[in-house]
Amino acid sequence: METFWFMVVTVMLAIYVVLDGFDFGTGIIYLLTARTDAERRTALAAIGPVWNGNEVWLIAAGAMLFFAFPKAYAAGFSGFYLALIMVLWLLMFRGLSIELRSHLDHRLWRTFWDVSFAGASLLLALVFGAALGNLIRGVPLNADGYFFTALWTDFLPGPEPGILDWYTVLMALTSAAILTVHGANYLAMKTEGELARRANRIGEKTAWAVLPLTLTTIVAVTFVQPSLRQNYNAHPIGYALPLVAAFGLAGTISFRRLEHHVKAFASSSVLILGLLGSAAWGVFPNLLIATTGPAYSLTIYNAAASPYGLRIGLVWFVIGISLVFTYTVYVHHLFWGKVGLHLIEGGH
Amino acid sequence: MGTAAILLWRGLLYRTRWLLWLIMLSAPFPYIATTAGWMTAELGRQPWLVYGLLRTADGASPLIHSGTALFTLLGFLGLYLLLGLLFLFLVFETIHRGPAMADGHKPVGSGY
Repeated sequence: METFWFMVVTVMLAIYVVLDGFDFGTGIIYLLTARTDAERRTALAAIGPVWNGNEVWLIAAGAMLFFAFPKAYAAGFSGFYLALIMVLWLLMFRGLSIELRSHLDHRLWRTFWDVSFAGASLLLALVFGAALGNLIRGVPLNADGYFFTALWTDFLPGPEPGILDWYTVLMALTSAAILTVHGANYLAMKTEGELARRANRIGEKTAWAVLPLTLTTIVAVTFVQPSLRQNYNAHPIGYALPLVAAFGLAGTISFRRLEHHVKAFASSSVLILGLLGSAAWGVFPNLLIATTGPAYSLTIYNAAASPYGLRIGLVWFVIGISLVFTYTVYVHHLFWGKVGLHLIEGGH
Repeated sequence: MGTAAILLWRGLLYRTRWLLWLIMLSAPFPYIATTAGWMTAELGRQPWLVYGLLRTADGASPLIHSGTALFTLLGFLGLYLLLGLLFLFLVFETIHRGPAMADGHKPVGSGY
């Protein structure tokens, strides 16, 4: 039962990263690809109908963590308090930028929200990468199951690390690069003309940066958190996951060159799912790894809610997730295809 | 509201000036109602966080410094102040611009 809920939380987070990942990616390359006001409105219209629904997956994944593993939720949200509040502020500014930008036809107003949209997107991509880095590296949990980490200390992943150290910064850069490619694939798929061509070019170049960054990250993991290897040694079938990610990266690079936009986007989604799956395979059954010793780690067993609650929750989860899944598929299906400026001329 | 609905149905609402004034002036009431509702729920439940199960004092995160909490509180206050001002600014802009023209010309501000 606990394993099932671990899968629920990780799969929902992975879906979130794939979905909101292309929103962030679109934001990162926004200023570079969309130069004119018309292009910018097209880029925003490409994510306009879906970004909001995509972020529901983050909230829902957090809620599932709260429900199934309350101790891990309490420790994580307390320990990362300041970082998470900053994430919230960034998410707010990002959403405001998308919604407020075109309300006023004034150059300064639009430029301000454009820069705020791009900046918040980039910072969020970095922060979420660093967050995953923290989960893999571990946090200094105490005997009560709580921890505190400063934003940074000496940038070394020791027993008392900061949220930012060289490893989590590396993860942040890798995440930003991958989401840039993912967003470029999305924008190239959803738009046409000069905008799509620029997105294509950025996606092609950044995909080559993803390769060394991902490889360095994977090598670094074996030093920073050697315990991840245990799961892989015990169940070598897990090596399929990084292999899936490698196929995803190869796919995005080759389809990008052939300008098969839908296939390239599917490939970068596979890349993200493969990498997150690899991480989840490695940390299982830990939710928060303790740098202070394995006895303090919060696992799916010592952090789980009562068996009765988990059973009842299963029923409601199935009902809820069916609804969310249905409308997610529906809205993406409804807005499938390219957005042209002619479509948004009269509002949306 | 009932009177307004009947008048709208009868086609008289747009000529009943006193009621239009009343409707316009009642714009702040939904905001007051939601805020008051929240305050009733949150303050009325004190000192409990979950009624009868968990006290607010026991629910607080043990390792968060009060300075950090103050910083984020001020951050939220500043952010919401900015948002409130932007909201008022945009509302007055929209009022100033007036409703859409009869020829179907749409004012800027819709869509992306």
